[in-house]
Amino acid sequence: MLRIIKAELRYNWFNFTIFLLSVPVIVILQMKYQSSYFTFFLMFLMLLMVNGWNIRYIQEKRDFLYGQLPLSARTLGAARLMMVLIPLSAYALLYIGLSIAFAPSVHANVRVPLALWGLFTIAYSVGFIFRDRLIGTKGLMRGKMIAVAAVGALLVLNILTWAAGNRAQAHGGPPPALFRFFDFVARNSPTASNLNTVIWIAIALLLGWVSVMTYTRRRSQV
Amino acid sequence: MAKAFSLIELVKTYPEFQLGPIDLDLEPGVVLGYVGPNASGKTTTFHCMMGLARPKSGRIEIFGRENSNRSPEWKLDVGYVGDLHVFHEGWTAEEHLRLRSQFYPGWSASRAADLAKRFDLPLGKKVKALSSGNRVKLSLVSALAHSPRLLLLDEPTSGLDPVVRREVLDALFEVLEDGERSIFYATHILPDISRLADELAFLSAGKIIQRSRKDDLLEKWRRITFTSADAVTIEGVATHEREGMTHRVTTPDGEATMRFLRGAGVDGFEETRMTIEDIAIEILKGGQHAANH
Repeated sequence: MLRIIKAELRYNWFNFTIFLLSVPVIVILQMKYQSSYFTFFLMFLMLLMVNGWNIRYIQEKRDFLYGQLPLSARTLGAARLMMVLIPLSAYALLYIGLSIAFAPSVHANVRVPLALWGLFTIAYSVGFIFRDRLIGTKGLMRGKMIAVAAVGALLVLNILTWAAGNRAQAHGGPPPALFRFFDFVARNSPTASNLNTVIWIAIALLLGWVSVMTYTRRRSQV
Repeated sequence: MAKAFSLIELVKTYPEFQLGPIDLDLEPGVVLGYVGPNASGKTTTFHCMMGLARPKSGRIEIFGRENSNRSPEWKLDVGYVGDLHVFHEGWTAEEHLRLRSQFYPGWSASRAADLAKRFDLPLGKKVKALSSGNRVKLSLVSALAHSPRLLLLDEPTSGLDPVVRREVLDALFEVLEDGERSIFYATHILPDISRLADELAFLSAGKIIQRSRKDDLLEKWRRITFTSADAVTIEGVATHEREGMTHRVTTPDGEATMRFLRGAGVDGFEETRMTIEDIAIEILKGGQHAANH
């Protein structure tokens, strides 16, 4: 397993370097400017890096390659799990870093995209781990693209809603419903005490992900 | 001595396709051509054999060991070249071979280098910059460098233009003719394998319709032309066409057909030997006909 992980890390060194460099960069920029723009920009960068790796894994049909080697299914599965745990760990590192940097409370503009991105990563990872080897790689690719587009749209909506909500509040009007929703998510993000909301959203995302995967399942070539 | 492989009542199903049940085995040192049209199930058979797809039922043994995904030691005896030539695109061919070498105790770096030289493969080039022909060659070097006892070749030259295909095959056959190993070679292009194969198994619509020694096929199949004003019914022939008084017959047993014709008082017939390609087409046409009815 370690040989595969090592090969993957070596092969994707650029993605991982950018991914890991993003963590201190986000912390420093947030500490200095207290602005969500940097977070969003770097979040997308990180998302691209992880996606770049995972999608490349699928596109280049790495399961087909590794599946030919004298490795047990358990070893291959564990290697796959590690490939998910590595970005998840980096995400956790980012989160802890930001939490420390902005203790005692992380700014909501930072927490919202982080929480959403975290949820996406979890859902994405579950899909990635449990996907059949080899079979339906086209479907998997399409499923991932749909999921990436959906999360991208969600983040854009998030930004717009926050901007509209802030403007409404500045002018004394009531905040829009979506603002209240994102605010709720932010207040209940992993650093807050109420994890139920996060778990609930994670399950929703997971179900959405599984639906996408099931829908796009294709037979492999004969 | 254990068979190189045994497929025992192998069945794999997809929503619109079923492979099998298939019973097929291969003696060590024999080259078996696996011949069938596109979408007949050749690749599915190989995927099942390599553990890349899970059969619905049946058993697969490689040199007497079940092809279990839990204990994959059996893969050490196998060299596989699939229809997809998959590598780390951003690495050089040499880096890819180095990665593979870590998984095979029997890997020989000098053999890999020698094969690359014989195949004229540029090892220093990145995989994404390799031509289709060179990708096939890299697959072949990857599959041969640990000197496997069983070589599974699933249409390795598909998608190559005729010139490159010939070049790759010439190099491959030159290498394969050196050693004593079992080879299972799937193709729908007969000339690719006819030079090397000892036996041929014909696959049509997921079923093996015939397995024969290549020499027996060449010996028995005949095209016979004769003249007769009467309608003649000949049993056991593959095709029988009539144009005026001229009859043209294709038969899987030339001797029996000629015996029958002599018995029926037909004279002046002319028999010609058939090429292995023509024989394969007749067999597969028969299989397709049977599948459609």
